Amino acid sequence: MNIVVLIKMVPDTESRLEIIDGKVNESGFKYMVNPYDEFAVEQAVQFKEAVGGKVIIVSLFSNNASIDTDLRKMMAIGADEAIVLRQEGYRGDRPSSNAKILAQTIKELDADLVIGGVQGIDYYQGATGPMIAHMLGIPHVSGVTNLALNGDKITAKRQIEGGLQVIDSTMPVLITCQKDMNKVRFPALKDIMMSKRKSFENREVPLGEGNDIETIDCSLPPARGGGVIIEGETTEEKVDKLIEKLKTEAKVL
Amino acid sequence: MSRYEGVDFYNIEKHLTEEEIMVRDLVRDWVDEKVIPIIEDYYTKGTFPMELISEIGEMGLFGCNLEGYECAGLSNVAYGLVCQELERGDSAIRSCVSVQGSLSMYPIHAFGTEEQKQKYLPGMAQGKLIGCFGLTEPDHGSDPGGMETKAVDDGDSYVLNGAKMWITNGTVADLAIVWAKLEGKIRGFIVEKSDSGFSAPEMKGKHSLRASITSELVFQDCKIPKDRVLPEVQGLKGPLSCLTQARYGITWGSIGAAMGCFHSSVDYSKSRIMFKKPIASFQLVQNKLAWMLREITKGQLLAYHLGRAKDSGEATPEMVSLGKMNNVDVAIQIARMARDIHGANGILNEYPIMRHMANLESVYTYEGTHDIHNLILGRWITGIQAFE
Repeated sequence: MNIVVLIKMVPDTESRLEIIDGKVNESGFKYMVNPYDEFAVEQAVQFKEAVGGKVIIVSLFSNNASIDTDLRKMMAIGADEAIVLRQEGYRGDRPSSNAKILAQTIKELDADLVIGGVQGIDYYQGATGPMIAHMLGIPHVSGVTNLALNGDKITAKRQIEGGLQVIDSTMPVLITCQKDMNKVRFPALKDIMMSKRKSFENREVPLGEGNDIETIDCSLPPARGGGVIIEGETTEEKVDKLIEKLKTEAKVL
Repeated sequence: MSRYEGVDFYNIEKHLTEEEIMVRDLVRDWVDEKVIPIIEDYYTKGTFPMELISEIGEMGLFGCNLEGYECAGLSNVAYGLVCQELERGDSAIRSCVSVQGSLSMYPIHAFGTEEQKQKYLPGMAQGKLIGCFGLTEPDHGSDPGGMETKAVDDGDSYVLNGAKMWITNGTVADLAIVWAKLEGKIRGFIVEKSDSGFSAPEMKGKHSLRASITSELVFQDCKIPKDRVLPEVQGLKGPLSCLTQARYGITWGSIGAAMGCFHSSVDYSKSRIMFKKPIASFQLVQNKLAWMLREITKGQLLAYHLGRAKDSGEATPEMVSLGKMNNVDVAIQIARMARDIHGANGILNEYPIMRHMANLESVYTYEGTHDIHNLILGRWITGIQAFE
């Protein structure tokens, strides 16, 4: 079974967010593997362990090499190869053009399963996965919480309002993983040592063109104002004032 | 508390290999997920979290700087980083790994027969067999050469009599590396849990290393087969070479505990409001934080350089003494200073401070006391031994 795992490198959640001239200043960012994508790696490795095959990581990012160690960690978990598409001027908020470039690479890999996270925690668009499925002409199931192989089919479960939806699909198929789909393993030291012998290929790719939105302006949320302390002689007086405020200012009563 | 991201003021990470960074991050994540949420509870109860042993074994952390026999064969710097991260969790976890790897697996690896290595090391690397190390006796701590435990040749077996004390992992160990005098010479013996005349009662009443098991080892006409002696070493250099390995791990581990105290102190001082502003805005608090960072950075550089020297075979026992002595000394001072910054909250188990501080009191004394390490350096400087 050939499995392609899509990994997006996203700004580390501890990175300091700064806006300069209406744009996010990315120069000081540290990057990490999108947490939803880690579930995809774990699931892919579990399938490989069960039925054999190969797990190939595909990631699109800039020429910044600081991400390499974190991708290598995914190979310590059990992925066999990594193909990193290096794009000058890469941005994480262009799902359409990014999907096009990724789909071109995946097409050559003869994948039975393409799997990634449900969304990137940078822009939360949740679009790249389904777009890739569309471009490859294969079905997709998004936001999956449980995935099982079922002969030559795959059974995906997803949480929906008030219930659980069960979907059977033929392969090849593209799946995006919801949080807590599985428990990502801690690799053993020998897996870490082995990971450096695995193929890690960098490929230069051009800036793609797609039907993406243009971001006009960015701003930080306004600073929160201080709370109000209600003054009064007695408790009854304070409660009366509070109820008045809830009626007239907060308009919740 | 904010997410722990280590302390690396001098960018030592730049000098680590990718593999060393991956090993450090693995253990860091594991400690965050598996140790920190449970350790206060075990510390309070005074028991060791035994369920962690198999996980540590599966990751391959036991004896990970040894070669062959299912051991990972990592660099000494990688092993040091493992100790650093484990001790940020708790000194008990690092102690368990030190005793297993440096004090139990190392002597078998260095001084054992091929049969002994095959029999014990793979199981120990996987955490399926637990080892302990019996050198210290009730009346012989800094003076191990004065040991009273004796082995007598009894034809097809050796018979051991005596007692060891302050033995980490003792009660739960499957085997003990026991140092005893045979015809007046110190020799290493492998005693198994089931050997007749051997018992390992747990020592109670500790105010430090409460999440670690500390035991006595008692030998009353304890009979062991002759193939359980470690053939390749005689004299005090056997146990002392093991201690050099363990002291090296402590050089890193103690700084890990200090890094944990520093991280908590920075967080606390920035969020604790006094006189209408965070206490981090006061010069006295900043001075304390700067001192902590200064000593952590020096300790890290010392540990890193010692590790590279050990990898190239240039580290001497005296260099290891200086590392252990200095880093535990600054770690304990950093823990006390962190307690001060945390005010009364510093004594609560909501913060890791008091636990680290109490643990480090043991670390200050075990594996060669602070004073003895000074005397080892004194001997190196003057050529005169002051502890005979």
